[in-house]
Order: sequence, then C-alpha cells, then structure tokens
Amino acid sequence: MSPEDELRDRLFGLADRVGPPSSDGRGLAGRVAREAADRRRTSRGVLVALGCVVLLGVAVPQLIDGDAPATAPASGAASDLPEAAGRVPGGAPADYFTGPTRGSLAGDDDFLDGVTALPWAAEPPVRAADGTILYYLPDPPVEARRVVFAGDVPGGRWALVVGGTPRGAAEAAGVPPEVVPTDTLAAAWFTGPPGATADQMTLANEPSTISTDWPAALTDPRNGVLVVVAAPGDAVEVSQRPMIDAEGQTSREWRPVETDDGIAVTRVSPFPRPYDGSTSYRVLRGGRLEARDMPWSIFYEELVDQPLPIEYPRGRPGGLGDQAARFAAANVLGELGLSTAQVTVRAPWVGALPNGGDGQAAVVTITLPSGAVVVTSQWLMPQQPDGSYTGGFCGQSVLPAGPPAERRVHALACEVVDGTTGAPMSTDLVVVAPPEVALVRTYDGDRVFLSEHSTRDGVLVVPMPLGTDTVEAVTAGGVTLGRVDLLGNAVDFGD
Amino acid sequence: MATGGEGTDVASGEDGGPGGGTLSFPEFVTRQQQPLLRLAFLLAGDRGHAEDLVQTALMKTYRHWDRVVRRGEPSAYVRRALVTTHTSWRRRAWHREQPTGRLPETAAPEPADRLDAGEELRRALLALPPRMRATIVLRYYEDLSELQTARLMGCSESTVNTQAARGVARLRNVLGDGAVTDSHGRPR
Repeated sequence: MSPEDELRDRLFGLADRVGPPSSDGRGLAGRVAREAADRRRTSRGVLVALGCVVLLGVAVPQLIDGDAPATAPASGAASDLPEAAGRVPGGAPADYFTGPTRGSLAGDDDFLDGVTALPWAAEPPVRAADGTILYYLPDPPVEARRVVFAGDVPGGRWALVVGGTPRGAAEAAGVPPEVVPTDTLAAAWFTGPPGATADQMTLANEPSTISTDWPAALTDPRNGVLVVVAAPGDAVEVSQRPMIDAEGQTSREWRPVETDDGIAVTRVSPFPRPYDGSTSYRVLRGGRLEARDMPWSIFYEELVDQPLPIEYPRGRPGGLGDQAARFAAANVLGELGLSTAQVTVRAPWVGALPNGGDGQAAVVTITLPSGAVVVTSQWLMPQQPDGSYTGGFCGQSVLPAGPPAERRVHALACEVVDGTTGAPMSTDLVVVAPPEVALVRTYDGDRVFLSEHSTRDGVLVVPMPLGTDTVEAVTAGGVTLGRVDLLGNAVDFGD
Repeated sequence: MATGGEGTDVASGEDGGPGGGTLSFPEFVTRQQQPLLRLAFLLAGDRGHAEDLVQTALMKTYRHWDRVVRRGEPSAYVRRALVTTHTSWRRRAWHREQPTGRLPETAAPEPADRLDAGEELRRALLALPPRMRATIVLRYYEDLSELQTARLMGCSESTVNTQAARGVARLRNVLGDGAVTDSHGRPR
C-alpha cells in the first residue's frame, strides 16, 4: 500500500471519531437561517441609519458554543402553542427565562399586564433575491408572552418580554411553515421614562429570537445603562470594550457587578455614539463561565452623522469615497468603543476598482492609543434609486505598534459584488505602500512567485492574480520592504 | 469521495439532481451535515471548532443559496467556504484570543507512547500549516483531483501538487516511516 493510500485510510478512521452531529439537519438549517436573519437585521438597522445598505461580502464568524443543546424538531409538541413560556422545547429546564418575573416592578401586576400586551413591530418576511421567503418572525400572541424582567433602572424603566410562536402562525401569515421558527422564543425590550406607565413604554429594539439557555441583555449607549438577565444565583461581569495593546493583542478587563436574583443593573461609561458595539458581559455559575456575549443595544439614528475626521494623504476623495472611508472607520470605532478623539484615522488610498464600475473602495488605518494599527477596507457602489447603497467588506487586520501607518504596506483582496443580488462578480488586488515603492510582487501560499506589477504613487490596483497569498513591496532602488499577508476577512477583536 | 455515501459529487455538484434546482436548504443541510462535520473535524482538529466551522460555512452558503443552487454546486460552495473560513481563522489565531463561550476543559497531555494512531495523526495534521493541512484533507480524504483542489482553494494546481507532496512527507516524518497503522490503530 502506498503512503498516500495509507494516509487516505487513516484519515477516514480519524474522521469517524467526530461522531454524529449534535443537532438534526433541519434544526441546524433553522439556526443558520435565524442567525443570518438576525445579523441581517442588525446590519440593516445600522446601515440604513447610515444611509446605506451594504452587502457584506464575507460573514464574520461567530463562535458558537459547540455544547449548546440541540434544537427540538418543530413537530415535537402536540399543543397549539409552543412550550415557550418557561420550558425549553424538548422538556429540559430553562434557567434564564423561567420563574416569576424579576426586577423592582415584578409585583406591579397592572404594569406587567400592560407591558405584556404592548404591540411588537412585526417585520415583513425576509426574502431571497427571487422572492422566496427564507425567514419570518411573527409577533407572538399576547397569551404566549411573559415578562421576564421589569424594573426601574437609572434614568427610566425597562422590561424584557419573551414569547413563543404558535404552530399555526405560518399558515395564518400565508408563508411556508419551515420559515417560521416555532421552537424558540422571541424577545423584545421595552423602555420608558422614570415612573412610566405601561402605555408609556416603547419598543427599544427589533424583536428577535433568543436561545432559552443563553442570557439576554440590553444597553443604552446614551447613558451607559446595562441590564443583564441571567439565572438566579449567577454572577455577572462586564467589560466596556476590547483593548488592543502595542503588540496588537486583544484583551478585556472584566468588572464584577452586583446582581439581584440573577439580574444585573449597571452602567458603563457613556459617550455619544449611535449604538454600543463594544460592551461585553459574561455570566458565571459556581465560578464556571456559562456565557459570554454582547448586549443588544438601543440605536440612536440621530447620532450617526457625528464628525469623523479622516486624513487623506493622497488627496480628499469625492463623496462616495469619503463615505466608504467613514463607514469603514465607524465600524472599527464602534467595535472598539473608542471615540474619534482617542485615535488617528487616515485613508491612505481611496479609489475605483478595475471591475468595480462606479464604486469606490477605501483603505483606512486607525492608529489606536497603544500605537497598534487597525487596517480596514470597504468598497461601496453609488447610491441606488431607492436611496440604498451596496458594497462589500474588503478585509481587516490588526498590526502591532511600530512604523507609522503611512510607512507600512497594506494588501487586500476586494470582492466586487452584484448590486442587486450580492453575488460576488470578481476580485481585485489592492496594495497601498509608501510612495517610493515602485514594484509589487505577488506570491501564492507556497511562497511561489506569481507576478510583478508597477505601482503608481505606491499604489497597485489590479485584478487579483489567482492564488495570491502574500505580496512584496520593492522600492525604485530595489530595496524590499518585506512581504505582507492579505488582510483577513474574519477579524472580530476577540468577540 | 468522502461525502458520507450520499452520492454527492463535489466536482460535478450533483446535489439532488441536475442543477439542484429543487433542493431546499434544510434538505441540503440534512444531507451534508455529517460529511461536513467529518471534513471540518479533520481541518480543525476538535469537535467544538468543527461544529463552529460547519455552521459558519453554512451561513455563508445560505446567504447566496439561490445563486449557489442555480449553479448546481452547493457541495463545492460550502466546502470552499469551510476551507477558506478555516484557513482564515487559523491565520488569526496566532495573534487573537479565541473566545469559546465556555471555559474549555483541560486535560493532562497523554504520553506519546499512549497515543493511538488516530490521535497521532490528528496531532500531526494540526502541526501542518493550515493550507497544507487543507490540501492533504481535500486530496486524500475528499479524494479531489489536483485541479478540483486548486479550484476549491483558489490556488494553482502546481501549488496543490507541492503542498500535497510536502504534506505527505511531513506526515511520514512525524509519524515515522513504517509506523503506519490501520484506522483502528493496529500496526500494518
């Protein structure tokens, strides 16, 4: 037997060790669809407020706990309403959303009844490009809802309401049954002013599905209030933002906060921003980490258009290029919880892509307080007739402190997508280097030379040579500035 | 082809009939979940990351499902997503924390002489660079040709050839010539 045949045989044996999947295929498909819809709603909420809708070319991987219990098949329950109010489908006890209402207003039955009956904002079904309905989350009927938390918080009153979807919801809405999640809970947060009556409470977020074995939390970026709903007896810790040190390493500082019956009401330092994309919390039980997540955030559209000073060393671009640069920078600042006063933002290149039509791409560097540099890139097409924008994310990376951002070489692969469907059409290579760089060489993953290109003002923009993995920048005098990897598409700042 | 006996052909994309036009996403996931998990396990080296990898790859596939199905190649598409996601994660793992949601269980390392052949191979695979490992797995587990592997990985056939040859050589070095055993760990 040849070594290759032996290797083949042993790979099969090793693969056998993984065992069966922890959930059935339809359960996994449903989870994927819900996750995609949740992210789409989150992105849409932010981007619409920015005046643009960007089709992100590559999803940022979200690490999901592999030990999460399987989702029960939708056909498992006999009753007309799902086992939403207090039990996990399948009969396992749920820790986070069972039991009596918690919070300082838990004893106010009139308030609870009123909040339970408040209208949710039904979203239209999520459709594919050809009109096929992929996902639909109808409002839970009032009788299937319950208030998990209701209480006074600094500056107001908040309530968390959860509910299940009845089995007949799909039929009633005229949509295919498989697109309606009937095996999970949906959740909505309501907020109001201090002393608010139930009818003064308003929906604070777009309702979304939740896992019954995962805590829920909401934060208000305007005043920094954060409420975490964990299980009774749980400990809660909060971290305001990821910190990136001079080495480019990401870490967080965690602060224990007081809990009452599993509810943490605390604050983080507020500063003007449209949403909180940086705060994180974690739940510990018996000293063991049970969950870590970012809270949902109230969104303030009026704070989107704050000044965001960007230096353009190669000249100020037009409106669309400026918008692409602003969008890229704002995303990073939002995730890192930094204000513009704490960073230096530069866009060393903004321009068109060979296959990108009238669109504009921007490479943006953000020098952090530690000296580390975040490089990010965004491609944006001109505004559509309906007022929206389409584009793509072209990668992101964190570089350790060292030479100024403008003295470094940045390389990225930018995927041009179809403006209507979001389908990838072509990929271009962009290299931005100091102006004295005259040549760029490309190499594949095996460090094999692929191609050589002349630059203009230190910038190269060409259709991507197939297989490019790294690039080398060389000055007119023949001095190489070393090889750099292409920016990645999955940087998540540790969250 | 190591796709779980479903008759799925990564190269030709025969997923539920020519063009795959009637294949729904849940049906696709139901068919492909197990073979994808096996492939991801070989790439990632542990079950938790393998399941994350599968879910992320399916997310990417789901977002372009209509186009992918129209082209009749969902199997190839999801595998491409799985491989690119894996190599992308690995590249970043050197300088980025990887939160898992729950603290991982830790265990004392096993002495080398107590490792069975499967564990030896798993560790040897993990010692390979991500793209070399992916090449090995695609060529010798998924049984793809050099051309198919190159298309899936977005590189040249010569790169695949080189990576595969080096990968096999490194695995032989790590496991030792003549130390090849069968899938149950028995010496051949």
